[in-house]
Amino acid sequence: MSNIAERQAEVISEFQMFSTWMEKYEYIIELGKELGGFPDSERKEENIISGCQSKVWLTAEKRENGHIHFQADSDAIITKGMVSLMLRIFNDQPGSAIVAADMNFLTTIGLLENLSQTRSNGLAAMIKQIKTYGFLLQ
Amino acid sequence: MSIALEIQRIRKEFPILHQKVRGSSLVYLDNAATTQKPQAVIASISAYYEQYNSNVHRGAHYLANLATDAMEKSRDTVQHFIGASHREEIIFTQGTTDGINLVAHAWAMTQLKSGDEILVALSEHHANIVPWQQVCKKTGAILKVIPLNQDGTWVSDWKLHVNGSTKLVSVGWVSNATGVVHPVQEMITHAHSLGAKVLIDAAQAVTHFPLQVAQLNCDWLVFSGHKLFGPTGIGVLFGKKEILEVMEVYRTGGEMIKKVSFEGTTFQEAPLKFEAGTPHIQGIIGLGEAIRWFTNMGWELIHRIEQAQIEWMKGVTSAVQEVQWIGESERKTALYSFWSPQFHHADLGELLDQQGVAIRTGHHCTQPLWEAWKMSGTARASFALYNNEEDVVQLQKSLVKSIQLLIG
Repeated sequence: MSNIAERQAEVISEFQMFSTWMEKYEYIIELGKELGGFPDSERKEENIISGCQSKVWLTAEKRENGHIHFQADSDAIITKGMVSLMLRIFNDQPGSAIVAADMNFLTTIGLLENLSQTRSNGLAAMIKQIKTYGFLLQ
Repeated sequence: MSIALEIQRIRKEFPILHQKVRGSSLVYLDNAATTQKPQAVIASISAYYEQYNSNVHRGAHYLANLATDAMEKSRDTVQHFIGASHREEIIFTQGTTDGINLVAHAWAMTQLKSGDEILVALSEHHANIVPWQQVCKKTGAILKVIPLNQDGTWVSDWKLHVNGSTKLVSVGWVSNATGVVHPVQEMITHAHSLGAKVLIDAAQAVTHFPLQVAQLNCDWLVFSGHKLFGPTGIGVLFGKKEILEVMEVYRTGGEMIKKVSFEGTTFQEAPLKFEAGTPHIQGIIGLGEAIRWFTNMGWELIHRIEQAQIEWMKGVTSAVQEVQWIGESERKTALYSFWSPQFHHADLGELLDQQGVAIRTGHHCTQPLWEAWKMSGTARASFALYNNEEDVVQLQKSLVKSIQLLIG
């Protein structure tokens, strides 16, 4: 299984194929639509990430191999696509690697420049929560 | 002159409109949040700082007199603009929210008692709910609410919500969430007949029709400068002279004081009584200029432009059926709130923003309304004098494209 840096490189090369914001959003929305399987029972207050304009739920559990498995959902499709992208990078990785991960790839794929302030705050809150779980479940 | 040319002429006066956002021409449709400022307003603020910046009222020098004159001239401008009988009835505030808080603290907190009722409508902005909740907490008064019809208008038996215990009715003239215009003149007459006082929140009304407070006979009326092509941080509270006299002081210190001694302090008469500290001088000057600029347009042209915008938008609301258009009452301003259970309004706002179209999404500070209607909020496009047919075309194009992305 690939590590975080390899997955980021993969995402970067995918995003290099897009020349317009529209294509990027189309892709993110597609990712959002594909992300499923979040259990209704976890759609509760304590799993909500605050700081996002739309609702984001995130859960984490440490598997037997010591890796962290995340599940997430959102009521807004673009946010959900972002969440999906984050999970693709971080899911089933050791906590220490999640904590240490460099997030520069977000600048490289040119996503941040297009995001509104509230949306990038939301994304930052999402990453912070993922890293917090990485730290707590090391 | 044709409407297109009239709007083109107006647009030229707004420097901010002539820019590209992410490669597209800016389409600014968030005017219910704040309007852009014409060159004349920007210049009046620069001129104040470049030529006669000074503290007002007490200065014994040339510049202080110029600044005081300019500030007091703005008070006259406001008085004539809203049709008040006396210039002393015009109090400068920080804005609509501040004006409501002033009345809550300086009048309601001391005049109301347990069991008295305050009446608002379901569509009120939080600024016209929360101060009254605070009053109720302190005094034991009860906050009552006029429900709404599905089209955003007050229920037909709204008069029954005013009764002998109602001491204050505080209602928005135009809803910032739906653009629906409420029958405030009838409300004022009816509420007075039962002995209640009436405050009108005119924040969303002020650019749409003449306020004429003396004729309306409201007890207070509030609005903000920045929704009227003026600067932020400045607003107006109109209060009837005889009521202002009995109102307590709110903030203290500065020019509002007549004489201070440790045995007791006496206060100035209104309006200075309510204007503690150094006022927002540049804001007041900018507001005066904004009102002069706006008044120069003339109500005839203002109405003609809004009617044209409403006509253009009929094309959009009938063409774009994937969203539900909220508050489609006959009596409304050029403000369009829409949503769909199929996607989140934040997604729609973001995709429109990518295409240079600025709208607002969210609860618009009217959470109780959305709770009652079981919605999380809407996307809202709101118009001002400078929005032309191209803006409407661009809005429609971007909407269609965004919806296609979201549910296509």
